[in-house]
Amino acid sequence: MGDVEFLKEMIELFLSYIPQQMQDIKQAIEEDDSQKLSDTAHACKGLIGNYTKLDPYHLLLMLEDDAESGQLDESLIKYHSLEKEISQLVVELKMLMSQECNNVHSSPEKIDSIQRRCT
Amino acid sequence: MKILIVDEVGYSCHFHARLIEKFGYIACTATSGFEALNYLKTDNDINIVITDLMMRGMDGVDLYQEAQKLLYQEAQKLERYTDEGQLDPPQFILMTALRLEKNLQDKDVHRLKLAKEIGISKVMFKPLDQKELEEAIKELVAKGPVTASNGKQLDLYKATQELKETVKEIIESGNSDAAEKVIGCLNSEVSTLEKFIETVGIV
Repeated sequence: MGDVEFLKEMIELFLSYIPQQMQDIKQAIEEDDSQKLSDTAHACKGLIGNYTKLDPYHLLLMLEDDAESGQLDESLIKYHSLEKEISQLVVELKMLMSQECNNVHSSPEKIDSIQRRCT
Repeated sequence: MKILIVDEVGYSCHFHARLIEKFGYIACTATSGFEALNYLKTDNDINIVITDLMMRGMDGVDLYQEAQKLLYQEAQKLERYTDEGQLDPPQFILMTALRLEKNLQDKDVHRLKLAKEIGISKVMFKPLDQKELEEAIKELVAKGPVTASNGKQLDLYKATQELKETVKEIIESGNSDAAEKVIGCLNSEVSTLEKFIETVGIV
């Protein structure tokens, strides 16, 4: 399996898992369930961390902190910010797939560039 | 070369399994420690286990300890043998998304420390760096499991457990004299081990 093909598959994997992860986080906040929020934010952090360490990742860290302190008062606001960031990430990943990943003859330099953008 | 990925998050299992396959190894997955143990009971081809730390029921450290019991104490029952002799036990890589700087008092950080103490081959932090993971696997494959220089397998798990039991008994009994004697004995043995390490040039 080539690097581009692998990257494409990983992006598709991300797109298939992220809606449920987001739903689980939202549900945990709505139920005011700190343990559940801790588990779901931690799991989602593992998922997001493979693609970016920027804003979405930091928001998940903040949600984990909320869960740890048991203070979920502002978690829903953070969740909405996360939702926006994830939507943007999804758009970017889809663009990457359509622009670059379908080109199976991509040069190693181009593949490196894609991977840098993803991380 | 077969590698078992253990993570209760389905995505993580899937992602890491595909990564392992990309490296050229065979991957299989388990979404709990219990499922992983069943794999180890029935599949002699697993050389490396990459497990998450935080899992409900049986975490990554529990899994390692249970696997050690299974593979050392019940090796005969499991028939982990080939024509060339007993199979080496699989080596373990523990992965975690814990933030050490944030969670220094966290019980999971204590589990992480324990993991290093009881002999888990490597601890890696999520998200795993792909190159680092590939190198770690290559290193484990090249190095093989921890063995004595004559190739004999050492049962470090059992010895560690017995020592811990002894310490626990002393504390529960409230016997400070016994505690001092054991500390003296341990210090002496630590000196012996340090001399041994210096002799063989490990440090």
